[in-house]
Amino acid sequence: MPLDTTSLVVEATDLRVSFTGEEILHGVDLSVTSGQTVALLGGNGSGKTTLLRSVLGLLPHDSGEVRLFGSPLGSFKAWERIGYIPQRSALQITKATVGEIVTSGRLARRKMLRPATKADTQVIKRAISQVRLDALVHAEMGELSGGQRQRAIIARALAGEPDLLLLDEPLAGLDTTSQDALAKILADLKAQGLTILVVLHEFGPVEPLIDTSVVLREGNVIYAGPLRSGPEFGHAHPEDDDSLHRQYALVPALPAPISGGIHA
Amino acid sequence: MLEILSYSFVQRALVAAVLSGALCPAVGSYIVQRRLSLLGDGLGHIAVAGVGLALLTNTAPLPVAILVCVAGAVLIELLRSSGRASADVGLAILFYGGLAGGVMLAGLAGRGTSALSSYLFGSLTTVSASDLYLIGGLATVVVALSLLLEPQLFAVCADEEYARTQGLPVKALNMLIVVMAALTVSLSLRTVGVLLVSALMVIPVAAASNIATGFKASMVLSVAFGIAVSFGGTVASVAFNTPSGATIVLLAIAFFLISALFTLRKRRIITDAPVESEHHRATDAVVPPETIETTEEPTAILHGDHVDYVHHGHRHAPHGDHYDEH
Repeated sequence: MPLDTTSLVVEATDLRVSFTGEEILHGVDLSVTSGQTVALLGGNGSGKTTLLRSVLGLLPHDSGEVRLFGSPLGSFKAWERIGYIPQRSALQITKATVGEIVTSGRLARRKMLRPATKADTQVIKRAISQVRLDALVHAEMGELSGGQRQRAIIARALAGEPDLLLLDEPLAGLDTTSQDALAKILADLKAQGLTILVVLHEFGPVEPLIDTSVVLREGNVIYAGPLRSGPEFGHAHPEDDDSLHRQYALVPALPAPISGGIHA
Repeated sequence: MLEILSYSFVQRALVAAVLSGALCPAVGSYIVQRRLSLLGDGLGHIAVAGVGLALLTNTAPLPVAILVCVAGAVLIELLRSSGRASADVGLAILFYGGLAGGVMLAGLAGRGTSALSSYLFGSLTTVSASDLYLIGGLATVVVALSLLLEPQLFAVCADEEYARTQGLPVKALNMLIVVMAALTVSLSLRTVGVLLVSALMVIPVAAASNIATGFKASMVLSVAFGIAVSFGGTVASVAFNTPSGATIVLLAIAFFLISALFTLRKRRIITDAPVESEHHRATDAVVPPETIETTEEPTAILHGDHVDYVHHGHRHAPHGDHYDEH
C-alpha cells in the first residue's frame, strides 16, 4: 500500500480518560503522521500507556476524539493496518509456540472458518525471520527469554502486515544486547516505511530512530516536538521527572498536532 | 468380560463416554488457556438446578439441564465481562444458588439427593437412546466449532486485548466459549456427572501439555487422552462394578501422574544438553542475540537456549528422538 506521507495515521484530540473514577488523561492531543516514529515519554503514572491503550480503544475515553487512518475509532474497521505490541509482562501465554503466537497475528487479514492461505503462511514465516526467531518457531513461549518473547510478539504484529506499529515499553526489562537487537529490528521496520508510536520509559538504543516525541506529565502533554538531547540539555532520562523537566522546561509546549512527516 | 460389551446399554454408555471424552478436553483446552479451569465446576453446579427442575416437572433431565446450564453460562459471561468487583461474588451466588436450587427442587419432587446423585457423579447405565442422539448431535457441533474456530478462539484465549486490536468479535467469541463449556458440562452429566466433569475438562489438558509442545498439539493429544480414559474407565466400571465418573476421573489422574514423569525427563534432557555444541555454534552465526541474551529471568534464558537445542537438534542423534518433537 503506497504511503501518503502527509496523512495523519493517529489523531487524538482533547482526550480525557478516567480509570476507576479518577481522570488519568486531562485533555490530551496526539498526532502521528504517516512514516513518523513518535515516542511517548513520561515518568511513572504520567499516562503514556493509558494514552496508547485509549488510542486503540482498549480503554474507553470520556470525551475527545480518536481517529485512526482518518476514521473515527468507533467506526474504524481496518484493524489489519494496526500492529499492537503490548507490554511483554502483560503476556500470559506460555503453552503456545512462537509459530502459533505469530500465526494468531494474521487473523485481521483472514476470514473466519477458512484455512490459512499460502500467502498467509509466507507472511507469517517472513515475520518470524524478520525478528530472527526462525530457529525457535516450535519453541513454547514459556521457554523463551524476555528478549525472545518480545521479538515473538513483534513478529505477531508484523504477521498482519500493518502500516502502524504501537509498542508499549518494548525495552523494559531487557538487557542492552536485547535492546540493541530490538532497535535494529525497529530501524528496519522504519526503513520499510512503517509508522511507529512507541511508549518509552528509557530511550536506550532506539533514540536515533525517534523523529518526534510527546512528553506527558500527570496526564497532560508538557512537550511535543523533536527529541531534545545533547550536552546542553544534560543527560535526559524520561523516567526521571526532574531530568525531563530540565530537558523540556526550556521549550514551551508546542501546540499539537505536530505537522509534517519528518523522516517519512 | 467381552460379553458385557454386547449389552446395548453398555454400548450406549461407551458411545456417550467417548463423546464426553472427546468433548471435555477440546473445550477444556480453551478454558485452561483462559485460566478459567474451575468454570466447568461452577457450570456443573448450575446444571444441578436443571436436573432438579426436570425431576420436579417430570421431564427428561438432559434437555432441561442443557437449557438451564446454557442460560447460566450466558449470565456468567455477562457478569464476568461487566468487570465489576462484585462480579466475583455474583458468580459464587449463581453457582451455589444452582446447586442449592437443584437439591431443593429434587426435594420438592419427593426424590431427594439419592435421585440426584446419579447426575452428580455419573451413571452410564442410565444413558437412553434419545440421550445418545442429543449427546451425539450437540457434541459433534461443539467439537466442530472448537476446531473450525480454533484460530479465533485461541487468539481470544491467549491474549484478549490483542484480539480486540485485530478487530475480532471478542465478546461473541467469549460468549461462545462459555456456552460451549455449558453444553460440555450438561452433556457429560450421564457419563462423569456434573461434579466431576470439570476434572475431565482440565486433567487430560494438563497431562497433554506435559508431553506435547504447543497449543494445538496439546489439544489434539488431550482429546486422545480424554477418549482413552473415558473408554477405559467405562469398561473398567462395568467390569469391576465401580462408579463410572469416579473411575474415569481417577484414570485421568493416573494419566496425569505418568505424564508428569515425562516433564522430569524433558527437564533432565534440557539441563544435560551440552552448551558448546556444534548446533549452538551454528545457531550463534544465524541468531547472534539468542545465545548471549540475559534477562531478568535467568532460568528462562537457559531454557530458551537449551530448548532451542532440543527442538532443532533432530540432526543431533542423542536428542533426535525427544518426545518434544512433533
